[in-house]
Amino acid sequence: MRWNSFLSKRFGDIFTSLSIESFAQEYKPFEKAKNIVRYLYYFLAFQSLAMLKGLERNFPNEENFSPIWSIAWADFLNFNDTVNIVRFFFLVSAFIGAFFYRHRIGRIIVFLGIFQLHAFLSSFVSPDHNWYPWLYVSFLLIFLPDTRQKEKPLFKERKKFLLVFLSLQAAIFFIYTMAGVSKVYNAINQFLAGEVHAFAREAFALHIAHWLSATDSTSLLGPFIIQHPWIGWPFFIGSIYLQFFALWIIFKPSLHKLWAFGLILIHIGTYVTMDILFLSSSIFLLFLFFDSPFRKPNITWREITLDLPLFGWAFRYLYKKL
Amino acid sequence: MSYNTLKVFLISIFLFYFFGGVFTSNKLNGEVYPFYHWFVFRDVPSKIQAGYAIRILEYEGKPLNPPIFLKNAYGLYVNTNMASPQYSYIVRVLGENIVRKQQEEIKRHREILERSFLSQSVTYEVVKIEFDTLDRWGTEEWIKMERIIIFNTRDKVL
Repeated sequence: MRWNSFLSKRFGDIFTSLSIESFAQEYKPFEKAKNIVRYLYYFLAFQSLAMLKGLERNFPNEENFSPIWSIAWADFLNFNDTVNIVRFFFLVSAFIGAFFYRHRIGRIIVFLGIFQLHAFLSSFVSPDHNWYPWLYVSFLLIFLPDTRQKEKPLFKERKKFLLVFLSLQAAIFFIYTMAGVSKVYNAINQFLAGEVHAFAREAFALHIAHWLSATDSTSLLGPFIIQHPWIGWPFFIGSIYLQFFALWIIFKPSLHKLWAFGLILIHIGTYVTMDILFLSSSIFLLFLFFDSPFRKPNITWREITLDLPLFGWAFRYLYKKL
Repeated sequence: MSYNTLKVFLISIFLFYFFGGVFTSNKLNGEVYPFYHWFVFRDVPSKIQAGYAIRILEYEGKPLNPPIFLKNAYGLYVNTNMASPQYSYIVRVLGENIVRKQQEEIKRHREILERSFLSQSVTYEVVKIEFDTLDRWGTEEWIKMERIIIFNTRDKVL
């Protein structure tokens, strides 16, 4: 544990506010995490039913189908057979997961079903981004320790379970942090180049206008923001803040629910302004964060405020000074 | 697998994926499956932008006057099997490959595009356009247009 104490000394309470060992001591966090995983697999089974009809819309798109490497076998079959194999394998694998999620082999089969579905959807012109969160989560879930229904797992099994659960949360928030970091990094580059940058007043309006033009679409609030860029400005800055610090919030369980809700609001915002609805990560924001196993009961608003990135640091500094 | 080994393994996966995503983000198509960088909307579009567009000049031997932009031809001369962002992606990548003279990529993206025409006797041009981002939305106005190349679906480069 030498590197743990090294990190603790240099970064204060960043990492010690989330100690897997302490959560694994009690049974409740593990029980909560286990239930969330179970319902995720049930939800995936529901998704597989939806995709039975959902994949049919690809039938007219045969001419644009060019199998990527991970679905190379499709080159040897006709298109209709490929669609049927993909959607029924996904269905079967999802229900295997619903029954046998406690067993690693069941979780591996689920991952393979999602892997092939995603490969299929990514074989038309451009890659599909909607199913990436499912791909990440189903892959990481493979590494859960197997559990038996009637037995209480040992401390070391609970620790590993919670560690993998934490990695699921990290995978989802990782997506947002990558988006946020790239925005900040490029904002600095664009500012230095004398270009319009992400912190400029008209940044959001330009994004909206560019996207709506490229997709030849419109949206509920997009035209309004284009006409009044200053109204969209604080929301855009807020969204960068939420995205940039998302991965940091993994270590601040008091903020899990609030942050996840904030990120869902970003998706609602991009829908009403840019006509983009990215639902798949919202599923995980709800499942993994709204009742996070790492969130202590009876959290106070003071703790939540002090845990906020930037603002919380400022409050802590002022509090110490006063 | 012990707890510490699992921890190191999971962190390694994250780091591997992160660097894989960053490395592949520099590829022409922006990603190499299954790595994705998630650098979405990272650049604020300039107020004055340059991009590529396609205009249909002739359809089934009849000249179109004025020529029609591809995005205005959905359902008329172009089928709607692909979503609009996919057409935008094809046009952008086609334009970039024409400028870079990447013949294989030009051929590949032309095939995808030309399959979408409702008739296979189409003459179209790839143009580079300069426009004001805020003005262009809803008006289709452009500041400057320059033809890069003309294609005919019967494979004659004019």
